[in-house]
Parts: sequence; C-alpha cells; structure tokens
Amino acid sequence: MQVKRKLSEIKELLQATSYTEHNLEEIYTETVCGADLLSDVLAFTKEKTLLLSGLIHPQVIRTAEMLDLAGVVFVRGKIPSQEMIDLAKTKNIPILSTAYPMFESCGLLYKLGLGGNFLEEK
Amino acid sequence: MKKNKEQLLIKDVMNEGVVSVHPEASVQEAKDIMRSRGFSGIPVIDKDNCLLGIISVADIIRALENDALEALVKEYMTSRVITINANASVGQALRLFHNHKFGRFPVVNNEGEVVGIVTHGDVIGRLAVFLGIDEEPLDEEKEQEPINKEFIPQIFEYPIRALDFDRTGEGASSLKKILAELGVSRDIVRRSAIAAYEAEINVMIHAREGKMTANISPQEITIIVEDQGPGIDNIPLAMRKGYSTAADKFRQMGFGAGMGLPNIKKSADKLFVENTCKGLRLIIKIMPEKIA
Amino acid sequence: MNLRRIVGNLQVEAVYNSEIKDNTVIKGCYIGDLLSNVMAHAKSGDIWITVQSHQNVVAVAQLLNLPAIIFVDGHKPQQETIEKAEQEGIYLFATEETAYNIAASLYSLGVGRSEK
Repeated sequence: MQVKRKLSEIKELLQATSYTEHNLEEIYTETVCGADLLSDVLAFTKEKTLLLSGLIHPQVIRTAEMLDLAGVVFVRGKIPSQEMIDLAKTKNIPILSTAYPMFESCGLLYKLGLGGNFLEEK
Repeated sequence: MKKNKEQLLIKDVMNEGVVSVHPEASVQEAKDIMRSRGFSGIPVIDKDNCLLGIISVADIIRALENDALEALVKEYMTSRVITINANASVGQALRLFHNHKFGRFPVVNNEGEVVGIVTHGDVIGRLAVFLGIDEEPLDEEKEQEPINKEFIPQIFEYPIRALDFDRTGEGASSLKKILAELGVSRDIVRRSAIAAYEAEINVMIHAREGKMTANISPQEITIIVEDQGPGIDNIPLAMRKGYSTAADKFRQMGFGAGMGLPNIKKSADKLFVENTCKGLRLIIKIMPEKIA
Repeated sequence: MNLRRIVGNLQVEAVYNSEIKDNTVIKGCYIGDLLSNVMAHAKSGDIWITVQSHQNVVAVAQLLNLPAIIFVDGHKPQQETIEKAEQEGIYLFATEETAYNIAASLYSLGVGRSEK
C-alpha cells in the first residue's frame, strides 16, 4: 500500500529549492530512488519515480527524461548548473535541491510514506 | 557531384554504409543480420578492414543442411570475392554481373577498403532513372501491407558527434518523441529510449563519433548504432555486468560502470554486437508484438 | 549501533563468511556511487550503500574507516573486491533491494544521521 505525495509536500519536507516553473502541487510521486550511477537508474527505475541524486550533470536530466521520472532532487546542497536548469525546462522535468544528504533525504521521505521502487528483472 | 551520361559511376549507384559481418561471428548471427536487413548476401570484413569474403543465402543454406548454424562465418563464407572499384563505370558493372552469377559486388576504393555494395538491381534501377526511361523508384514495394496498419514505417537517423557529452542523449530523446507521437505503447517507447540512450553514451565513452539509425514499424523497432572507434576485443566479456574499460572521468559522470551493454540487452528483445571495419555496431531490436 | 544488530534486521546477505566483532559500531550511513563524493563526505563509522563493485570501494572504505559496505540492486562485488575486503576486515553485504529501501530500513532502525 503506497501513498501518493505531491512534490510540493516533498519540497517542504526537504526544505528544498525548486529550479523550474512547474506547479509542484500538481505533480505526484509514489516511489523514490536514490542513486548516482545513471546506468543503475536506467536499469531499475519505474516511471513517475522521484530521483534523489548527488550527481550534478546534464545527463541526470536526460536520464529522467528517458524514464519519464516525476522529478529530480539534488542532495547535499548541490546546485544544478544553469545549463541543467535550461535543459530541465526544455524536457519538462522538475528539479529541486536540498541541503539534506542522501541518507537523510531517503529517511525523511520514507517517513512520509513513500516506497522504494523496484522493477522486476525480465 | 557532377554527372553526365559518360560518367555514371559505381559510387553514384552503390549503397553506402556497408553492413558487414565479422569472420568470427556465427552463421546464425549472419543469418539474423541478413534477415533483419533483407539482404541476400553480406561482406565478411575483419577488424583491419580486410575483405575476407562474402556470405550469401546459399552459404547459409549449406550451413543449415549441415545443422551448423553455430559454425563460424569464415568456415562457410565464399572467400573468392570479386570486387568493383567505386570509380568504375556502370557499364563495367553490367559486364561483371553478366559474366558472373553473383547478385552483388562489394565496392572498394583505391586503397582497397570496402566503401559500399552494389546489386544488379541498383545498377539497372538507377540506370533506368538516369536514362529517363523510369521515374524515381516507387516506394510502394517497401510499404507492402504491414500486419498492423497503425502507422507507416519510418526511418530515423541521428549523427552522434564527437566530444559532445552534454548533448549526448538528444538522439534517444528525439527517437523517444517520434515513437510517442506514432502512438507506440509506453513500455516500448521506454525500452527503446533506454537502449538508444545507453548506446549513445557507449559511443561517447568509447568512440566519440557515430550514427544512430532506427527503422520503425508497428511490428519491430530496429535501432542500429554504428561508431568509429576501437571496437570490442572480447564481446562476451563486455556483455558481463560490471565489466568496463571506460575512463574514470566517465564514472564520475554516472556511467562507465559496466552496465551499458547489459542494460541495452535487458531493454531489447534482441541485441547483436559486432565489430565492423570502422568500429562497433549494435543492432537493437524491440518488438512491440513479440512473435515467438 | 552494533553492526550485528543492524544486519539482523535488514534484507541483506553477507558476501563472505565472517563473525562480526562485538565492537563493530555503525554511527551513520552514507549512500553514494561516485567515489570522489564518498571520499569527500562519508564519515568514519558510516555504513556505506553503493552499487559500485570495483575493488576501489574497499580502498575508500578502509581509508575513511567505513566498517561495512552494502551492495544494492543486485550488484555483486568482484572477486578481487571480496579478497581485498577480507584482508582489510571490511564487512561486505549484498541485497536485491534498492538503496532507498535499505536506507529506509536503517533510518527506521534509528541509525544515526551523518552530520553535515
């Protein structure tokens, strides 16, 4: 039994900053994935998942685009570059940044009721 | 290119971008490539760009009769190959077709490298157009009756440019949009996007330059990614999860952890990995309605 | 928190057999696959969650005093990684679960938060 949470609630909980003009009240997620290795994200992540990452690179946005992820939260106070912000706007991917490290971000979101995601291997 | 009647050359009528097979590949692989691309013969070229032979339907049938699809291409190919120079005239080609029973000839440049392939049909067809006795070849034949007529088959091409890591992924992104617009199911769009994206990253890491071509039909999506790079010495090893020869800087970009090819394989219904004379070729097949 | 108690409550398997020493204490947790990030931010006593299976992870763990590593998403460490870990006394665990799920379990168990 998984709950849906608005990105706006997540933003508040993680005291995060949003970098795109998305209305976070209207975007929902049920599952979270924390990873830096993009191939791993590509291999295992379901669509509409929220990605937490410590990796600052435009390829994070592209990975989110390929998988139709709900959005990306950069952890440990990492600020996305202007190039990444522009790309995220073009590709319609909400991006946020939080000061919490990965582990604490996971813990907090778990307490909020969000589940992990695991795509069954074929 | 300047053309007149005296100067219709082989390079004007040939098919560029040769689909070849490695001598150490299995007959089964050659058969699959021929079937997927609709060819009746493909040149056998080794890593040093040397033309070793040609493998044709007749050779495949021989292997089938011997129940030897696992045998190597080099054991069943026809090694005596007649080639034609790219600068030869179509007249010379017609004589060659007349004198030999082969349906196709590899085209070589002055350095002896294979630069294309020319079939009897290519020569006659283009010659007819050239002489004004026929219109441009009609595409009708190619579009014959798709089983599921949801959309007309399309070809998508995207060049993967050198040292453009920030833009890498645009090819997969464009492909994803096209598939979505054609109404391909979400799962298929997703699998195609992941496979194309990893393949693009792979080119970027190992070769830096290449080309993505996708043949999209309602029954099958074939993504071919060819690059100009070092190729792979040991393909089975490269297919293993965690095996990587990527430079550390790519690991810091979130890739290069030895998951690219396994990820592509996981997303695809079929994956062929082969060394070509220029680099590496991946043929990724994704079948919306998988026929057993 | 004692490592033995932690792993007893997680869906993980030991990669190699070895008795966990009583005094092996976990103070926090760090999740990361980019070794340079881990080097910069993981704290002594953290349990480390990663998908990187290369033997360099053991070197990083040893350098930073990370008592244990959990490989998630079904990643299995390479043989050299295992041998090196045994030598260095770094405990290795593996699981099919995601980093998020393991982190959530650790958090629920009350594993300390790594300080900024």
